[in-house]
Amino acid sequence: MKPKMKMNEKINFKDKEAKKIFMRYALPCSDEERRKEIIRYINEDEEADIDTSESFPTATNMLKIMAHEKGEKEVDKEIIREYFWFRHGEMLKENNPDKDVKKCLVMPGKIKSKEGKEGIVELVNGEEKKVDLSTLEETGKGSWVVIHRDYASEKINEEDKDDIKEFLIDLEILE
Amino acid sequence: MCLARPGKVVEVKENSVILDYGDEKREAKTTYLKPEIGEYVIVNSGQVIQNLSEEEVKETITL
Repeated sequence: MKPKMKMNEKINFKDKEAKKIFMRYALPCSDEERRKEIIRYINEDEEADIDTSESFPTATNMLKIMAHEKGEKEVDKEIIREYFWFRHGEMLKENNPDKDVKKCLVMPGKIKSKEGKEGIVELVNGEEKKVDLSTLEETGKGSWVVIHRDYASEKINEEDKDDIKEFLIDLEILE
Repeated sequence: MCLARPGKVVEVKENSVILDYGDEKREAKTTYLKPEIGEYVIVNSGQVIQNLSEEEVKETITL
């Protein structure tokens, strides 16, 4: 492989906030034993020794490309959200045309109830799901969040929810 | 990330490659990476974005 862009370089997050947002979305895709470490990093600001480029090569490569397309040297939170809300879903659909990709999709949901770190959300496809709210402890009933696998990644507003929902309809994942 | 299906490079063109997915063949652009014949890659929006080691290919295929 001869990279035309510097694809072998490590990802450059704009700031700590951007890196934390990335970790929120990447959390469900990491090994079980690393998750606790990542949750501590997000919640308690405890420095984690996680090489994001090595642990999440597809996501970090895409983020580097998206930053490059925008003429940016660093990956900011807008690029991260654009990836996980939209491009990630496109990629799942593109690479797995026959498989049900729903479980890996990032999908908005509304918190129906909450008990400790666990909550029940109603996803935009109508499905109710038990999710881990470890990184969103301050978020309560009635809030919109984005769900990636069994974790709530981020709190979002209604407008964001509508954008993601519309995208999923375009992708023919939702009706 | 999880569940990305790799394609095997079977033909290299100037700005694209032909990938074999077993059941079908597809073309992908090589703006960012230029893979060689026999390598396994992952595509997003029609672009080759990642090459996989043999170990990673085995892992992904068994998923």
